[in-house]
Amino acid sequence: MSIPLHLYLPIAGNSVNMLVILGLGGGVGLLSGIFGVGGGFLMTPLLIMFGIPPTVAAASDSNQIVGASTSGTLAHFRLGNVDFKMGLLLLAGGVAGGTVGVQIIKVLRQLGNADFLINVSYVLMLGIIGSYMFAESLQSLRKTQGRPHAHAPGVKKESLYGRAVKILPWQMEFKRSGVRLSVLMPLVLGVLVGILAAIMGVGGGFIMVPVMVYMLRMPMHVVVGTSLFQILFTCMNVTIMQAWRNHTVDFILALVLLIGSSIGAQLGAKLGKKLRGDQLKILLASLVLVVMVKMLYELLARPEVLLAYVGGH
Amino acid sequence: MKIGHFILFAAFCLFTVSTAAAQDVARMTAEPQAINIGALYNGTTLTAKGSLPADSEAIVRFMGTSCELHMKQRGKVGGIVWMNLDSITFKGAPSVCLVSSAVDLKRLEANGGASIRILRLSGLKGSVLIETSGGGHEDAFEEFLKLKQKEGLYREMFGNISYGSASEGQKTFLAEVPIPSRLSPGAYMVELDAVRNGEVIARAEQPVTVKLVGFPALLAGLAFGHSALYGILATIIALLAGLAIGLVFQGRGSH
Repeated sequence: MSIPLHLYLPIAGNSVNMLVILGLGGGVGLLSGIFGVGGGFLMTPLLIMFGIPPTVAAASDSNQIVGASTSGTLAHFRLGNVDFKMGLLLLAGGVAGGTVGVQIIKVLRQLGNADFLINVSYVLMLGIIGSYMFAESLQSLRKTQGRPHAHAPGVKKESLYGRAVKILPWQMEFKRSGVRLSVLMPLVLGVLVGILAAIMGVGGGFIMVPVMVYMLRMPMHVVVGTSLFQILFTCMNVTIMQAWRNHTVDFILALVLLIGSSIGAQLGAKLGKKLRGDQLKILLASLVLVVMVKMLYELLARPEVLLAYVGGH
Repeated sequence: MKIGHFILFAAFCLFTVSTAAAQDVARMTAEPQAINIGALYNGTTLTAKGSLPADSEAIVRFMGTSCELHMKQRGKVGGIVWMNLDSITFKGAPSVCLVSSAVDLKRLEANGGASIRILRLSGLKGSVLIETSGGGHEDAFEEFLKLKQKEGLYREMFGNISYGSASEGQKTFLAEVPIPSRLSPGAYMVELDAVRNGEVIARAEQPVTVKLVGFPALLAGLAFGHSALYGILATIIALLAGLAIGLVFQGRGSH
């Protein structure tokens, strides 16, 4: 007697091989656990490749990220890597920014060529963030590896940005992150990331992680845990809205994916703990650059079919 | 005498016509008449059998109901990048179109006859209405066919119809049509066209119903009938599953 490996997905209107979906979930969950990103940018195109309609792929992915980020947040919480105060402020800003972003995208679409602007800005942003992170972490890795004399004793000169941040009002101590910042910083940055995420139609982990590292000066391990905590709430909102308004959440697909991704996220969190902050950053930078190259290729290469369904990422 | 000749001639004509009419008849039954999509559904095989004139070829089509599809045309912007551009709507295209024959349809079409062309996938062009928000759509139908074929919903197959022995001008046939796993509930039609010298000489058809049963039916009912509740439940279950897996790992890690 053979074990049935296929499951019919009633909302996607297709059947899938469970092992393939578990494997996809596991792989993307692993990255999510290591880097603190939702993984929607990877999972959605992979699901489309396996015959899931784009809108169902994107919405069901949000549903599975709820499970994966719960598991990942729990793992990082135990390791002391979640700054709840910072996460909640970023989340508040992100929700406000998301609402503004949705309105902006409506206007852009009415003006025409919005998709062009979105895709080009996406490639540029990923290219700039990825290159900067890669170069910075490579430099940092070199410093810590072979040249101890490079750390010359003396007072390090504070940057203009660092001084500007200190003069902002409503300074607050973020103990878990080990930083003192104005409440306005995470709120405003949350708004900006929320706007970008809404325009680009993604969860925003890819933008949020570099923002936390470079603008909020949070340690990389805390960034990962806090990012997952924030993604959890963003995706809860998206899942409910997509199910309610568009009927595009396939729960069976999400459940199989999340079994794989939750396990992957746990393993990822443990693997991430074994890596240093610089190593994590350089790996994430590489991933960002790979996605950028993939998007650039899609923009430049002639598509197999010159038609696309409306919706999806 | 003349009247007698006329009656004899009329009787002969009537006999000839009725014999030809009897021969140019196609009969078909398709099984299953209802395709039930349960949790483990992964496509099925539809069997159509019956009889058709001995000197004709059978073309069996499994057709979905006509639908309206909204898409975006992809084109080059600034001569460099490919983007989604104008909106395009396809009206009157069947959701599924699987065409089966015993011999290659290209060969049948080459023998002449507009009917074969109409029965093929390319023949849908005449019944599909294309509306665009922007400029031209010269190749839109061909791209549409490419997309549907890639999805496995439009397909031309040959060799999956076999014939039995012929008697009294009729021969039996058996068609085995692979139904894709990507199938939506609804009404479908199995059509048999008997083709001679490139023209359809007899037709038969039978409706087939596709419906969700068991857990998929329950879930689809909840998702479309109580969507807000469905979204909240999906979120809560995902949360609990994530917590449960997290706790399992905590248990293992603590030992």
